[in-house]
Amino acid sequence: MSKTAQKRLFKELQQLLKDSPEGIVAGPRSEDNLFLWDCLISGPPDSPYQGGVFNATLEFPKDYPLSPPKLLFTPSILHPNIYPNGEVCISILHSPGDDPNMYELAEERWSPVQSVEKILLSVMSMLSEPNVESGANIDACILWRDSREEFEKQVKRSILKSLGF
Amino acid sequence: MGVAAEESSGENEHSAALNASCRICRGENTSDSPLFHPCKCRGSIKYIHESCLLEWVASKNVDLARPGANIKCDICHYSIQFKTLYDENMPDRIPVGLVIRTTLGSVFKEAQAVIRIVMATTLLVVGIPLAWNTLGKLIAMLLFGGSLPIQGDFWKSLLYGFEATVPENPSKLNIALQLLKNYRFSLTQIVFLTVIHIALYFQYDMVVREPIFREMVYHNIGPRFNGEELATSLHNAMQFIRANEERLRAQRAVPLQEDLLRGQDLGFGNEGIQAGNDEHNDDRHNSTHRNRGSEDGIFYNGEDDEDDDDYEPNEAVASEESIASSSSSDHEIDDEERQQLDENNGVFNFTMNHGRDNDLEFMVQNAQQNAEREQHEEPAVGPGRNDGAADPEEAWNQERPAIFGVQLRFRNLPFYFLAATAFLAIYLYLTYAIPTFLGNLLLTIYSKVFVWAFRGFIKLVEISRTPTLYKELSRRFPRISSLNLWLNTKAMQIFSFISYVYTNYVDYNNKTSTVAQSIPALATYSTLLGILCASTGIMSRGYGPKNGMKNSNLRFVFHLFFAIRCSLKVFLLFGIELVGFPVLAGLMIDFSLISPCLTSHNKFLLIGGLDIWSPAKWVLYWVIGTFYMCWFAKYVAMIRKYIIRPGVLFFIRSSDDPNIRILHDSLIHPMRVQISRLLLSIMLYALFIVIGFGFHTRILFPLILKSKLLPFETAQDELFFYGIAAILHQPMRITEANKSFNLYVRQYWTKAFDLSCKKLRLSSFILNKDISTERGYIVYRNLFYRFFFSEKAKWSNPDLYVDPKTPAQADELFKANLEIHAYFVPDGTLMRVPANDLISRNYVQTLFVPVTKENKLLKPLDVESIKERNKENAGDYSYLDDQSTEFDAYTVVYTPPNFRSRFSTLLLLIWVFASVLCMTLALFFNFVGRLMLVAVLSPFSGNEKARGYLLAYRKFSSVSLWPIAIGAWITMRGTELFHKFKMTRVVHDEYAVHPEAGDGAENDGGVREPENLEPAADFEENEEGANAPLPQDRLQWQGRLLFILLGKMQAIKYCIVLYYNFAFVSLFVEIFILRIEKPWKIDTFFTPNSWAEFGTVVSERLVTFGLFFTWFVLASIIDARKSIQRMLQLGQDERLKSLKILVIDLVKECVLTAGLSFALQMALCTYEYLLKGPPSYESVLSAYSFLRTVRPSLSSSEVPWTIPHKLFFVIPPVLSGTFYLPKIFKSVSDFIKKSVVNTREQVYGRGKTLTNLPEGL
Repeated sequence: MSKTAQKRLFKELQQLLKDSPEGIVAGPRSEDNLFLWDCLISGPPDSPYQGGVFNATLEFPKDYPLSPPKLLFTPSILHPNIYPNGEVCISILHSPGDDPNMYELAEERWSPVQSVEKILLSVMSMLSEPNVESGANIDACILWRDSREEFEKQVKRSILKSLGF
Repeated sequence: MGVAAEESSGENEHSAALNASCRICRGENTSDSPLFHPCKCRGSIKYIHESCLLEWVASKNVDLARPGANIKCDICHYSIQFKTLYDENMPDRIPVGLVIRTTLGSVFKEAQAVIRIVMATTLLVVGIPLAWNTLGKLIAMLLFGGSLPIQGDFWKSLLYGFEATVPENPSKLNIALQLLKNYRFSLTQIVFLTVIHIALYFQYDMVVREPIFREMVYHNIGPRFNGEELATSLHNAMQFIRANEERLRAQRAVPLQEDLLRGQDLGFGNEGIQAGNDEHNDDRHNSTHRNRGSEDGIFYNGEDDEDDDDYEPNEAVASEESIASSSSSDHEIDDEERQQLDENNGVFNFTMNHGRDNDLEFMVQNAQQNAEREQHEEPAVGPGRNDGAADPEEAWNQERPAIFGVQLRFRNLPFYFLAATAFLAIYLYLTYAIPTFLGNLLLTIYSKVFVWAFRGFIKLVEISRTPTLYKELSRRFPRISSLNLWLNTKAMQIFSFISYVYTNYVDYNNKTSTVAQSIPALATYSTLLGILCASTGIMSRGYGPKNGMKNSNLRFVFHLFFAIRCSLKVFLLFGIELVGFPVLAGLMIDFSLISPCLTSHNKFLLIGGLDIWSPAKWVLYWVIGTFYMCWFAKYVAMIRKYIIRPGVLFFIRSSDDPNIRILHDSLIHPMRVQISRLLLSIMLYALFIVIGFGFHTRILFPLILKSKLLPFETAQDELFFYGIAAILHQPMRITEANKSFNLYVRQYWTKAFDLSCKKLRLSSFILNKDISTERGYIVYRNLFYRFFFSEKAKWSNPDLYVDPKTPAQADELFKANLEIHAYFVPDGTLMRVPANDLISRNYVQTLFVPVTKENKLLKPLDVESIKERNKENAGDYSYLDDQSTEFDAYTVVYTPPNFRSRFSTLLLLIWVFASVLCMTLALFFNFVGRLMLVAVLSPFSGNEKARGYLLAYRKFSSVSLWPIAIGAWITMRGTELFHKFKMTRVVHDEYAVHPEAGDGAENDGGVREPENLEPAADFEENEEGANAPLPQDRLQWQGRLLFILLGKMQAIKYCIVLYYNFAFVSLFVEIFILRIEKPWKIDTFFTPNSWAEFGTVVSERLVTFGLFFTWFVLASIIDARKSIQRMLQLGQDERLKSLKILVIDLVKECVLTAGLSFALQMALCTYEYLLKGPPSYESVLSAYSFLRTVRPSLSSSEVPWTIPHKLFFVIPPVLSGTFYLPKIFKSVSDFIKKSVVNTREQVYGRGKTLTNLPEGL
């Protein structure tokens, strides 16, 4: 099982190194453990997160790609779909068996067809278009919905802070 | 596989592009694992390895080997196809012999399984009761001296037993009927005994588990150790725990320590109490009990800490779990262990009731055992957690075939049966033969004792010179002698009955009666139980909480006996409540409602007099009684919830009462109190039923009004039982479904209560409405003003209520002031009454006392006597009975003078209101039902039967059951619809006014039911979201309609179309092929008068038809289920589409077979009618009915078969043949094709592989 996962992760890494999408850098933290990756995601333009660079870890299960990996923002960022502990809640990261919110379509959820690249792209699109319907951070949801300006201000502030200003 | 793989990989080589990779593992196309493209996906995810796909499928828990398993692509939802790979040297044409052989083989295999199951069930369901019967008869024969009841014929005796009438030469039918009778008898016995056994067992279990039981045992025999011994052992325990704690402190988390410390504190407190436990009063005692309870906690922790020492340190998780479970007493521990813990619990609660080595060492041992066991079980939870998931499954897979194999292996079945029979024999011997034997002895002794006692009594009477006294008395009062004569005759009758029974018993003459046969055994059982119950009392004499029983064996015996005694008590009480009560209520209902309504007011019971199997009667009574009680409870709940003040019905316990602990109460209260309580409720029920219904049905209507309404018209005798079923079942469901009707009924009751309470000045007490005008009465100047000018008199006093007077004042004022004719005189008192229905029993005793306006008692409470009374009611165990006093509260309400008589009058008024409601409703329902029936039936007035019904129902002045039932349904449905309509209107209007329609409707008051708010909510939803989904209500409604439609369609198909076709086909076969003179018509099967023939004529044709009919029913059920399942899987649109297809198919079938043949037959009849004219036939229809019903039973000599006649019977078979034969051919050829494919797969199949989707798709 683990061998397949390793092989597949290696292939994906190769693919990513060959042509990685804009604004995304990802790779294993150390050479001897392919199951823990570090990623850098830049905030998509025309979004509150523009200009920020966010650090996230990807934790792959042993039976990858049958089960989805776990994506954790370190440190967490203010976003309706990111739990306060940094865990990302998007449908592509949920395996078809478990549906925490009961309204995700089966084809939106994890399938071996997906890949690290696709996950990170979805995260980027999530950053630019939060989905308040299935919120993970209720405060962020309310803020985003009710006073967008305040939300953007807080995000900007945290970005500046993370960049060391 | 190998061949195919190469083949397909070769196929793939050119199509798979260079950088093609598997969508799951990203691996390339290799010769070992070729890439496939089985679905419609394109691009980078086009290809997949077969192994990867299978892995992915397996991870989703889909079993591919299961038939019908379907894999769909996650992305494109195309269902992925597999193709079977075949052997290289498979012939092009599979030999026919092979096909037949494999098909027959598989058919044979299935048949074998079916036969096995059928045989097993027959042996179990039929064989066991018959074996039971035979064994019982054998034992009875042995008990009656070993002689055969029928001399010289063993088998016949075995069959008929001690039956009173035995035919000389029994026919096959006789034997079969007798077997059936035996079977029924034994089955009833077995079921009855099983139910009793199970009930007794569960009762015992529940009783022993009930905490109060342990306390009662403690009350009776006390602790095993006295205070000092306990203190030392506790001290030891403390030290042990402390030492343990020291060790633990190093490794364990804080919460656990807290736990332990808490336990320790309590433990020390307990020690102190134990030391100073010389004086003993109730409260103190309770507190010691509680502390004992907490001791358990300590010991648990002690135990489990002990466990931890045995554990490996790395298993801290598991041990923490066990700590958690022990601190919360008993969660997550497996049953066995829990039992043991429970035992320990009991042990330490009362310091070893179970009696055996109960010192600490035992505890420690025990704990170690536990620990060891847990360690054995550890692999499943601990380190091997990953394997754990797979293990049980494997075990299951290995086990499952084994279970079936053991159960259903052909040869084993008889052995199992024999084993069961042997078990039955032993059981019967132990529970029937020996007790009967002993019981005969006992009965002899009892009767001897009775005779001696009687003789002694006579002697005493003679010695006391009572006869001379009597002579003297009768000389003075001659009436006494006549009374004596009457008494004498009665006594003689009773005596002769007893002597008759006795002589019969002595002479073995009552062998036929089951009751008589079971008397000796019952005598043994009751004697045994009596001794057992008495022995508990004797054994516990001299022991008590202060003076504990020391002998552990004795303790064990006492514990067991006491448990049996308690379970018997509980069983008796539960039996009376759950079986005795409903049966009695059913009997009373039959007496006061069913019998006078349906037969005559002179007849005593209806169901009791029916000629049916007697257990069925009791069951029927039970059902009726239970339903009545349900209805009554519902009525009381309605009144309590919506109409009257909470606290009025405090004596009827409500379901949310914290003091309802049925088992607890039945254990703790003395039998005397319980029986008196039960008798009281039986009396109440009897009053409500016998007077409530019986007055109308047995006195008012027949005797006073001499009305013809009762009994009901029962022209439709055959529908009698359906009628009863309808009475019992339908209204319950319909009233459940039609809430609005209940609403109107409730409104009626609210009005009725308001009115009667106002008249009786009880509004304050009953309804909690403090109306000042009810607080007294008005005195008038004289009777004239009182009765004729009361209004005027009231108006004459401007401050009538403002300025109340005493009677004396009023008298003077009347004299002084001639203008004023009325004064208001207040009377009555304020009273403390229960404020809710949940108050505790003891608290009630302090209520119902008069108080002043300031809520001060008018006279002090006699607390001592109240306590005394409470104690007496609670019996010996009163101090164990801790009632929840959480809800104890009172309110002060006004009560008028003569409260009791007013209250009884209120009950009477309620009864009058109830009668008016019931009778009005019945008459109204009857009217509506008749109207409806007449409207439905009048188009069919041509039919003779329908005309009969029509004439019966047209009499609107008489009442009968069916119209009432139908009318009730229609009325309820109507009110419901009307109400809904009204509600939607209201909601709509409200919505138009302000958008919070839902809130508005809710605030409108409690009158509206929650479901009536649904339309409002839906409305809101629809307005809010532009693409809101269909309201749930409507979807459900559509679904339900669909299924009703489907069900109806199936019914039509099987009842009419096939019936019509089959009727004519069978007639055709019988008339023209078998040439039977008077063929048996199926039509008659459906008319009730032919059911009588069913029992007498067991012809082969009937059997054939029966089989066919069963097949019909089964086929229709299976068909309906299949189509419904199919429908359920489909979406909304597809569902409608497939429904359309089904309807079209059905219509086609109807029209092409039955419809077309009916039309052709009608054409024939018209021709016949035109040919022969009126003398032979009155109309075309009569020609049809002649041909259909009379013609087949006439022989050709009576009426010659003409060509039209023959054609009449030939058309339907030909038409249905042309319609059904192709279908049959098709299904046969399908079957053949399928079996060919199956054979090919079975014989030449070499595995499966993925198939590639052609590029074009």
